[in-house]
Amino acid sequence: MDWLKYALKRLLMLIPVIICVTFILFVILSLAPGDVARMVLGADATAEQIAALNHEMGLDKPLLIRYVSYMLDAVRLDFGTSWTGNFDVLEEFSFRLPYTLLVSTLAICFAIAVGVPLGIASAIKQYSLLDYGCTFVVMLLFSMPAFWLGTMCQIFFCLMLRWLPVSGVGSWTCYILPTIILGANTLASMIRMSRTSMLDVIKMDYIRTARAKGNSQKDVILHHAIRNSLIPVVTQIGINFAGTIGGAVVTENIFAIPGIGSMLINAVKGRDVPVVMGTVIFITVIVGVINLIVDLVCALIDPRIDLAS
Amino acid sequence: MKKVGLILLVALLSMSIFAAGSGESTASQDKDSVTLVVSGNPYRFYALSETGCGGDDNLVLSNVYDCLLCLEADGSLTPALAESYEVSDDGLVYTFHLRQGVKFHNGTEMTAEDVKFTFDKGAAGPLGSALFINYDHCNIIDDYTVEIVLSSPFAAFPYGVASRLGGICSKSYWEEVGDEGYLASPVGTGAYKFVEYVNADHVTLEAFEDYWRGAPSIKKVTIALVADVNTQILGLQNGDYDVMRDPSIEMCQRFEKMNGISTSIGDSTARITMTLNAWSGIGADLNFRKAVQAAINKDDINAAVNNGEATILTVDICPMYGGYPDQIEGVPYDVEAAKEYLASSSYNGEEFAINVQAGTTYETVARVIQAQLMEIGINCTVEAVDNMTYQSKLTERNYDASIINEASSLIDADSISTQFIPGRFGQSYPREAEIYEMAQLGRGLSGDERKELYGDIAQILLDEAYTVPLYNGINTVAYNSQLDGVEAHCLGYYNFRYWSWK
Repeated sequence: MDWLKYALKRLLMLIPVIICVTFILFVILSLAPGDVARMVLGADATAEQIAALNHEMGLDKPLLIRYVSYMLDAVRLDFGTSWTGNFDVLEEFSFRLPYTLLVSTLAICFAIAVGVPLGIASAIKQYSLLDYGCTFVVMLLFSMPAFWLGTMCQIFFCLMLRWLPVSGVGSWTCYILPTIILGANTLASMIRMSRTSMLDVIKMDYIRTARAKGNSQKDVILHHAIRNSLIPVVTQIGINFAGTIGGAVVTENIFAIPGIGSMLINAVKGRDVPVVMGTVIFITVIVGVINLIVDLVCALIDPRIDLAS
Repeated sequence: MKKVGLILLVALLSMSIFAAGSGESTASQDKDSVTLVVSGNPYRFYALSETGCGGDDNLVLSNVYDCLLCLEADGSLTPALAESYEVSDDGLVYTFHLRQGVKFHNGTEMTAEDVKFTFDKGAAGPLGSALFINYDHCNIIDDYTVEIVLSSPFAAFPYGVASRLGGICSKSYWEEVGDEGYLASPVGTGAYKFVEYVNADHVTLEAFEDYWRGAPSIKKVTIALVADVNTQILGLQNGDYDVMRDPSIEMCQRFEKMNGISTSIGDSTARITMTLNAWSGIGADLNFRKAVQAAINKDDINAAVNNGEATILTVDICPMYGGYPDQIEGVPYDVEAAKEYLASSSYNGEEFAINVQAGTTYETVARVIQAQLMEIGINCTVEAVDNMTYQSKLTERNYDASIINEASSLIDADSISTQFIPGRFGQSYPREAEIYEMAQLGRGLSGDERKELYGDIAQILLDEAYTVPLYNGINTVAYNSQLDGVEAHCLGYYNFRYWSWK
C-alpha cells in the first residue's frame, strides 16, 4: 500500500504546480499587448461591440478575479470556449489527445526498441566500429532540429522515393515519419544513456564476481547487468516522454497531425487564452502523471527504492 | 548480431515495399474529388449569426451559398440567383428578378421570403454596416421579385449583394434550427453541400446534385488545413494535395518549371500601403512626410517581394475598383527631392519606426523601405511584432508608420473612406473629416463624375502624404496540371464548380 500512498501524495503535489504554472501563464497572457475583442470582431467593430464582447469574455474584471473564476470553472471541468474558433476546449482536447498520445507513444517505443539494444551493444563492444557508429549517430541526432530533419525526410522519403505521404493521418504510413522525427532525439538519448549506464554496471565488482563464477557473457549481461543498468534509462524515458509531448508541437505542425501541439500553436498565434490555458493545464497533468508512473516503475525494477521514505 | 542486422534489414525492406504501395495510391486520383490545402482556419459557415465571418470562411461560404450576383475571379459581377436586376434613376431602389426552381440543400425552394430574411438579418448583424452599406429595407413584390431600398444611393451596393453576407439563407430552416443550428449545419443553394468540419484539420464539401446550374464535376472537395507552408509545398509535389492556395511568387515560378504543376496569379482587391502618422511626432511635419514619400522606390520593393509581378499603385486605390481615377499621376521616386524635403523639415535625427507584422512579406517591404529612408538620412527602424500587437498599435494609432494590407470585399474606390471615418480611431488625420465627406458624396455619383471625385480624394492623400501606396496585392494558386478551371480569385477564394479533371 506504500505505493498507493506515495501516488496520492504525488498527485496532491501536482495541485500547487498547476496553480503556479497557470498563474504565471495567465499573468503573461494578460500583460501581453493587444486587444483581443478587436481581434475577434475585426477592424469594423464599434466601440460598443468591443465593450460588450470584453464584458462577455470577462475581460473588464480585475486580473486576480478573472484568474480565480477561471480556476473555479476549470475545477468543474469547464475550460470555456475558444475565443477564435468557437469550440469547447475540453471537447476539442479529447478529440486531439489520442493523436498526440499515439505519435508520442510510437516515438518513445521506436526510441526504446532501437536505442536501448544499440546502446547496450555498443557498451559491450566498446571502441568497436559499432560503438563509434552509435556515438556518431547520437551526435548527429542531437544536433539536428526536428523541423529541419522533418523537412529533409519529407523530401527524401516522400518526394524522391515516393514511399510515404507527406502529411495527414489518413493511413498507418502517415505515422512513420512523425514517429521517427519525434523519436529521433529520444533515440539519441536512449543510446547514450543505456551505453553509459551499461558501461558503469559491467565494471562493477558483482559483475566481475559473476564472471569469475564462470557465467557466460550472455548470462552475465542478461541476468546480472541489464536490470541494474535499466534504472537510469527508465528515468530518462519518463523525462523524454514528457519532452516528447512538448516536442509534438513542432512535429504535428510539420506533418499536419491534428494533435494538441498544433492546437496550442494555433491558440498562441491567435492569443486564444481559454485554449492556451486549458491545453497547458492538460499537458501539466499528463507530464505529472507520466513522471509518477516512471517513479513507480523504477521502484518496481529496483527494490532498493523505498517509496515510503 | 549478424542475425539481428539481417532481420532488421528484411523488416525495413518489407516496410518500404508496403509503404511504396500506399504512396502510389495516395498520388493516384480518383478523378472526382479534389483536396485543396490552405493555411487559414475557416470555421464560421453561416454569415448571419452574431459571430459574423471572415476572409477564410469565404472558401466555404462561396461554395455552400449562392448570392443574387456572383463575384468572378477577375472582380466582375455575373447573374446568379437573380436573373437580372434594375436600379431606379435616383439609385435608391434595386429590383431583383429571382431565378425560379432553385433548391436549398434541404430540398425547399428559394423564394423572395428567403432573400428578404437574408438581407434584413445580415444588415442588422455585425457585418451589415460594412457590407450592406445604406441598406434600408426589402420589399417582396411577388415570390420571385424583390425590391431592395437604400437610405441613400451607393454605387457599389451590388458588390455587397455578391459578398459573403449576401449568400441567401433559408428562412424556414432558420426558423427550425436557429443561429446555432445553422452554424453547425449550414444550408444554402450553392454548388456544394457542407459535410464535415474538424477544427484546424479539414472541411469536407460534397457536390449538390440538384444544383440549379447543374451538378458540379468535382463530387467531393476536401479543404485540408495545414499551417506549415513547407508541408503544403511538399504535399502538392507528392500528390497528397491537388491545389495549394497562395504559394509565394518565388514558389510559383519554381512550380512552373516542374512537370505536373501549374499556377495562376491574379490581382487581389488589396492595397499594400505605408500609412504615416500625421497627427503627432515628426510625422506631423508635412515636409518630413513628403521626404518619406519621395524617397521610396516602389519598383525595388516590388522586385524584392513579388519578383516584379505586382502592379505598382500610384494612388491608394486599386485599378480594378469602381471609380478608379486613372487621370492622377503619382509621386515619382526622387532621392534629391526627398533630401530637400527632409532638409526643410524639423527632422532632427529622431527614430522613425515602421510597425509591421513579423514573419510576413510585409516585413521584407519594411526592410527595403528602411534601407531607402536611411539613404536620405532618416534614422529608420523596423518594429516587427506579432499580429495582435500589430493590430493593437494600428487601432490605437500608436506608430510612426505602418505597412497595411487594406483588402476590400467591396471592389470600389469607396473602400478608401474606411481609414478616414472621423473619430473612428480617436485623433487621426487632420483632413479626415473632409476626405470622408467627399467619399460620402462619391457614393451617389456615377461615371466620370465619380472618377473625378475619387481623383480629388487621391490627390489630397498624395499632397498631404498621409499614405504611400506601394503595390496592388496579388493572389496565387498552384494546382495539379490535370485540373481545369482553377484560377486565382481576387478575394482569395475559389468557385469549385468551375473545377474539373481533364
